[in-house]
Amino acid sequence: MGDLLAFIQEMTTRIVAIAWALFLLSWSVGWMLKGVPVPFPKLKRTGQDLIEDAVWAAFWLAIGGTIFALISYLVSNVSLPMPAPPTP
Amino acid sequence: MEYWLLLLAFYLSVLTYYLGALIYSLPIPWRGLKRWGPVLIYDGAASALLVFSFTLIVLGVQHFYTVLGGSWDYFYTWVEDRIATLISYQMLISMISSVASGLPGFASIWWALNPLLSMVSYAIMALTTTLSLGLVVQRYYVRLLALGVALYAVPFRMARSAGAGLMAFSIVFYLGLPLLPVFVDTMGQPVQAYPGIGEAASIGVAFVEGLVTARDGTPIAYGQLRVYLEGSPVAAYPTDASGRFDAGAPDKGLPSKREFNVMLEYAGLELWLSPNPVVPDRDYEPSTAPDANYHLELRANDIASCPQPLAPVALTSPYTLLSSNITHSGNRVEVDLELDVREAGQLVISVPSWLQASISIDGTPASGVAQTWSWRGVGGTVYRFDIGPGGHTIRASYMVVDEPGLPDLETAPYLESLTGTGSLASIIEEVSRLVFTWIVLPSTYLFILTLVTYSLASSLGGRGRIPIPWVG
Repeated sequence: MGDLLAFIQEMTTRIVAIAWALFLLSWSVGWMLKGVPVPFPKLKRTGQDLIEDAVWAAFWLAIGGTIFALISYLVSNVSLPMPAPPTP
Repeated sequence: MEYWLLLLAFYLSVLTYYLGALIYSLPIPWRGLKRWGPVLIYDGAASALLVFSFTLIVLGVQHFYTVLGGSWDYFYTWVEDRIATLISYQMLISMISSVASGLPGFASIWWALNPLLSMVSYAIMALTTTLSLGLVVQRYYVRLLALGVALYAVPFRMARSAGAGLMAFSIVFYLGLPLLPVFVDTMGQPVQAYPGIGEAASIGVAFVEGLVTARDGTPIAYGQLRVYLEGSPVAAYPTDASGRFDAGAPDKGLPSKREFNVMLEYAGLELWLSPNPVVPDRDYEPSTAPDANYHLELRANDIASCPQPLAPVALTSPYTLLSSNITHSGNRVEVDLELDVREAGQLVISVPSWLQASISIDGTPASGVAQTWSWRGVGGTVYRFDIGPGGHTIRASYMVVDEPGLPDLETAPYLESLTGTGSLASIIEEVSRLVFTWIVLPSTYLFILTLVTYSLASSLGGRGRIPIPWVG
């Protein structure tokens, strides 16, 4: 049972690392598409979308721990505290 | 275990959340795929909220359980009582079935017994299932709830429906199942449980036909038999014109495992029949009658002869019957008896109103003390003569002067007193009512709980559509 938890935890850590890497990639690709010197507005629009998504992803990644801590805090104010959220 | 499940649920919710963020950050401009991002982030946060609210949910359920007034103890007692009653019914029906199975006419009553037995078995099965369900829900509802939360948190909503369903099931059934007795008692008719049924197997039942005769072998016609078990009347059967009585299948019977006594009520006289007591193992003989397995011969030893229906010639003191001769000629009947009386006593001759009698004792016409009697709608005169010890010759001549009357005799089946439910038809009616109350109503209630569970599961997101990227 502990193995399963460790596996999920490890997978979560990897996913967070991959997500950060993908953020950098998306952000870079987005800027690259946006700055490419060709007059294709659709391509530039795609670049803009990638940048926006990457920024949102970075935002959710950054506040992930905070969100779980906030939920834990809010619920513990009206109930008994449950297991502390593990840090991914 | 619950703690581990909650921990698993929390880890899964974190994983779901970061999977959402990962999909958000993919450098692929595919809207359908990107939609998963916010969905998974939302699911992760919602699952985490459920995990942290778990104790609150449990406390809330306990609070509502108290408010609704349900009681698991009462629920178990209620179900167990009904199972015990049904088992006693099953025993009774099985016993009747096994006793009657040897009869030539058994097929004709099997149509009633077989479905009855099946119905009772189904009722027992249904109640046992309900009891098991109650045990599982009461003991494991916290664990089921935690498992539901864990399933709910599986990424990509793969087990969301199952999780929501499990959570709804544990909550609804924990709150609703203890209220089952209240529902059934309110909606159903009261069902009477007969405590006597449980004793039926120990007393037993035998289907019997038989003959009642006087000392000289003449039949006791139109007599009323009363059967006593340990001093209590348990049955009453009439005799017909040839002195036969019917305690046969399917609903009459006599005790088969305990000895009993039979009293004859006849033309105003009451006397015990021999053998006294009747011992079933000793006195029952095999019968070839279609509705009885046993034959029983009963003898009224105090009645020396009964030359005409309701016209017994009886003695109150011990005697030996030396000879008996009955002659019929037209509307006249004569009986000649030779007796050896051992102690002084009384000769009692009862003459119904449609007969005229002339009596002589030892060749001398005798008038005795006459007393009129009325019994079950017929009447007559009883003559009593003092008689000393020694040999006596008694001659009684009867002449029919009117149409014979028939007494109003009663039948009180043994099975009725044994079960308290009356005839087989009453047992069928009772079992049908019982099946309605103890199968149909609980099933309806469980169906209602299932519908509520489904609705609650839907509210919790159990029916949430999985957003498939390529469908949009």
